Amino acid sequence: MCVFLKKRFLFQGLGMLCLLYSQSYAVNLPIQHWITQKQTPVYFINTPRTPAILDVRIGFYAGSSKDDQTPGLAYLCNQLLREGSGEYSSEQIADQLAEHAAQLYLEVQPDFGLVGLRTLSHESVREPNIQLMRTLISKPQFKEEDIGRLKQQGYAALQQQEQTPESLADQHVYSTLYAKTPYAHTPLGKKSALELIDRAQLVSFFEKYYTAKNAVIVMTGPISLERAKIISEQLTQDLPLGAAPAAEEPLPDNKRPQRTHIPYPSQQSHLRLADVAISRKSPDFYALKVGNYILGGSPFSSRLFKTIRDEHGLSYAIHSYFNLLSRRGPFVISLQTQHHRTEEALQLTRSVLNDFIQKGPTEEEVRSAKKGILGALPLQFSSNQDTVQQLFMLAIEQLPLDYFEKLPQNIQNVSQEQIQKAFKKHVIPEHLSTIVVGPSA
Amino acid sequence: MWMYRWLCLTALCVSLISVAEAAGRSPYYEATLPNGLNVILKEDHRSPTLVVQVWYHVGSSYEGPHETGLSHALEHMMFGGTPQYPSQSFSQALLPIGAYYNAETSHDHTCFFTQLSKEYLPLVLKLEADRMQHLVFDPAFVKKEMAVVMEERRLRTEDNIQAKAYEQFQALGMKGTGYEHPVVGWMADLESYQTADLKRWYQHWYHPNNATLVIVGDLSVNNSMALIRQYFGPIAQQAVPTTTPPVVLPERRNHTLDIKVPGKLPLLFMGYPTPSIKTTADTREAYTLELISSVLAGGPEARLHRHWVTQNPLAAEIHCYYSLYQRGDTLFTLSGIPNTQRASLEDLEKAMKKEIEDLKNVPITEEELQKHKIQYIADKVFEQDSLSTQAKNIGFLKTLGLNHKEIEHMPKEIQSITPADIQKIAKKYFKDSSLTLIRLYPESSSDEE
Repeated sequence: MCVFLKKRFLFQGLGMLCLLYSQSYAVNLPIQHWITQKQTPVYFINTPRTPAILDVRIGFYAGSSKDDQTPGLAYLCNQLLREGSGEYSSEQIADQLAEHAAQLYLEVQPDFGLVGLRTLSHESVREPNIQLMRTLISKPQFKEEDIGRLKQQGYAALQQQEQTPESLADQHVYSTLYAKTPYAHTPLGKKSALELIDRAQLVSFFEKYYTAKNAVIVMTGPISLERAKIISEQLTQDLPLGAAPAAEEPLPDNKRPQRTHIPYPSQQSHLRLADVAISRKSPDFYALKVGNYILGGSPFSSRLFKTIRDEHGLSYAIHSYFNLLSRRGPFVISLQTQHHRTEEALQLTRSVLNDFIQKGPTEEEVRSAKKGILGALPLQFSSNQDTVQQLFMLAIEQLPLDYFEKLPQNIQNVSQEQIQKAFKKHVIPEHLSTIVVGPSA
Repeated sequence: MWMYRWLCLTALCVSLISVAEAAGRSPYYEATLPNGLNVILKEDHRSPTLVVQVWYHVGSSYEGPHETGLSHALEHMMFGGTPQYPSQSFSQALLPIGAYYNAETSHDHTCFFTQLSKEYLPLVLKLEADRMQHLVFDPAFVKKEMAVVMEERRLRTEDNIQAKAYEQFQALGMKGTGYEHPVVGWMADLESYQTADLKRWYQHWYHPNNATLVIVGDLSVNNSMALIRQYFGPIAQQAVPTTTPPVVLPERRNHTLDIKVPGKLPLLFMGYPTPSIKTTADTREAYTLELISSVLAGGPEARLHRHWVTQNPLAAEIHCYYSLYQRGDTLFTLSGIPNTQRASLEDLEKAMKKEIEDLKNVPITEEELQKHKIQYIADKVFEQDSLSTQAKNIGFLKTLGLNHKEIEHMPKEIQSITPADIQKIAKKYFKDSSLTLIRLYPESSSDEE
């Protein structure tokens, strides 16, 4: 983390150009990078051939991991940003967005909160939309009646989760692996905590985390570099300086792997095998990325898919993934099956995993996986929306500017032995927790 | 003051239309091969990728009793392999080049799509042409894949309270039409299928004269057409079963059903039979219904949301759906989840019905209508960002037997709709006597803590 913070200050005041381009996996989109006067890092890709669409995202290190003792605080604060800001009421904001043909979206994840805008790049609507976005991120009203109303929407969303077995299963992955840490709860938190949040807490959270030095901005669209720089200054003009995000310790291993059963009246059992794993900063990231593609990441051809779905028809959706949270996210295998075949599915899944870890992937699998991952790269930049998403990931995770440029080589460099070693180190089958959501036995 | 605002909004709308038209106006090329295959190519040179979609003109609305779910099941079987490309070689061929592929079945079509780097166009065309003719039906694969289809049904419907309620809503509101049963099919039918049933479905429907090929992206027309003729040209056309006539809903059908299931949240579905763009005598009616959907629940500024989620929060969520691109008549649908801290399902029902009455009785202002036109047209511009969406829009229209260029006329058509149109259409179609209504009441189950 510290290394990247230093790099950011080095670039201050300079226009930093970096190409997404390498070998035959050419994605020829230059990333421009600079810091605003208020010290917010900005990343911009000019996409001249897109229809006249400008995508802007502002991310703040204001995720649910900052909730501290009040689960749901980051979520509620973020949702309230469009409900009354500056001199505009909730309704006026909605009207303005509609009249200027804009789409606004808000999101909170454990590591960040984001405010996103999709606008036509034509000046007549772009300008008022940017001005509105500037107000929304800096002058929320946090009116009592809006707080009350949004809490109630939150309760409904929580109830929705409670009647969705997949959501219950995912929730319990985090509450099991990360108990008593900032990753234990999902952004919505729980009703009993949401109920207690008051205006003072929201204001305090906002003032602490929605600041210039705690933010990143990304933009993609058919605008000039000069225009992008102006927009970045406009957006950050009213933000307080604040403090840059502090380095955070990775979270510890889960001390008590366990099997949890959550009763639910469904025909299927929803299953998760999971353990605390890595962040993207791990030196084994590339090896695990390629390995996971082979084990359960590639749709249709992964080992888990071929055995559990193709061979045995046990599950419709089965996959494995590393959720690359900044303080060490989980490794998860996810599937669902008819209730009475739960044990069979779990045993089979574990045997595929064990085999993979003990023997590692084959040369052919490694070769194929690399081609698959790299061949898909251009698809990730084939629309403005895809491009802004990739750029946002680079920005919020403070990845080096040449991350995409170096990605093909980093993937190519991964060896069969490295994959086996990395999996042996980071995924220990006996240490995985098992979560089952379904009818009682 | 309002006049000034209205003028500004109108001006914006007009300039948006030209933006939308410019965005949509990239070179199209259209052809029909001698064997009947429809081909539409659209150039978009933003990135060196292509989206290739094969649309078969068959979906769940073509299925009769005890045939439900066959189209979707066949979609699964299409990955079972051919003599030249045995099972899994489809993925073996496509995954190493990083292609993203999948398929989707709906009421009126089955679509197989691939997104990939442009230099692999010959490969995907070869694979698609091959499985259009030579699909193998290995009984072991069929049996296993039917098990997967049943798991899919369990995941998406059986264990999903709201999806299950929606299924019952469709069954009630579209009774006696091809839209009565779900795309995935009824479980009893799925359990009964043999290899022969799937093979028969394939032999009936999967022919070039019953298909449309759409390619959008960094293509060259000449090069693409040469490849298409090479791979698809030799496939013989075959007779296709007579298509059932478009599903037409009788005027009067008022249905109400209360459901109690284990769950946490109440839910309401309301549906009014309306024409689609295909079955309407006047496309203006269909576009008016599109705008009405936007006026009611297009976004936070829309009526249902503004009145009942923001101002007087009886609702936690409200949605509106209108299927413009459908082969037959459709159900204009509203759904709502009450804010249980303040209101009951009955309160929400009353509020939503009142909104419908207001739409019929009180003319909408030009200003409010203009706001929705802007949002709607802008959405069409945003859609152009995605190669897949561009291709889908073409595919939807073409498989309905409509001119795919209809998309380009849409902004002007939308702009021409008046407050009088809105009232007229609302009065014509949103009648109590034709309403289908489902109320879902949650109850706690013995399997919960």
